[in-house]
Amino acid sequence: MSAMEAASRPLSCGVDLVGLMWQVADGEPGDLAHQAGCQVCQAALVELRRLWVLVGELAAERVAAPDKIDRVTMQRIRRALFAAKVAEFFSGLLPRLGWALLTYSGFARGR
Amino acid sequence: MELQLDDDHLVTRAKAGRLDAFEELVRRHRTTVYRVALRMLGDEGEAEDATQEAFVHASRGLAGFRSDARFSTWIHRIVTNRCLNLLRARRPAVPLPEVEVAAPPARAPERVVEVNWQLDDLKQAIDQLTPEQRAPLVLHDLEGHHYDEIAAMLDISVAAVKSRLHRARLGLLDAMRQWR
Repeated sequence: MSAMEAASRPLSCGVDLVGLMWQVADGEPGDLAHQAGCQVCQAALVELRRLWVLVGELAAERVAAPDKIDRVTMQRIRRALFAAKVAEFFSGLLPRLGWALLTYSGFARGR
Repeated sequence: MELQLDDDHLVTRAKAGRLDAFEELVRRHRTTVYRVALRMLGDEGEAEDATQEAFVHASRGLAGFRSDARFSTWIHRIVTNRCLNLLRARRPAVPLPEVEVAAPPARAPERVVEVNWQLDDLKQAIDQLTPEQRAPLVLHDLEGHHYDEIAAMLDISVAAVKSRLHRARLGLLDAMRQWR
């Protein structure tokens, strides 16, 4: 049995750790009357709150994107747009060129 | 006085071909998009690439973006899926146990230093989660997205989001127990 499976089993008092986790993490209502007199639940809640303080610290941690990200991203987008326009231009030009060549060769043969 | 356009107006302008409007969207959302990528991938270089890829992908797919969704949700969906693909591709090369965190070195007595160590441990623990568990944790617990938004981003049910999030949180709890 993995440690995670062990963690997902009911506590020795019969209360499911899942419920306590949702209570701490998402503010869902818990069985406060039971928890007030249950040392097992109290210990689990202390552990979960300690984890949740850390998760909150991580969520609040300042992360700055590298300054060059805008410039590099926009360069890539501009290049992609330019390539698409060039492709569009040639895809329109080639059939016209082909048609012109066929027409010219038809005229040339007719002479 | 300069007017600050909201995202919807910028998206409308960008759809009409205004590149400066899209550039403003990149500027506004780069930090949160990079942060999601960094939390998902755990590597600054890869996070930077994934952020760029996400915006380039968004610029190509802007015509298909429905205006009833928020741009921030849409771009987070793109970067999350990009990260999930990278993590899935990475997985066979570096097989990781579900939750196994190395014992941290001895801690300095100062509280700030201790918190920093614990945050490093927490980041390591997040890195050890499976990609499927990590995504809802990053998007909900770190970025504050709602369950229904995450369900739409990951193309799964709200129940599946909650189930994966639950397993992710258990993984972190388990890792925290090993730190002692």
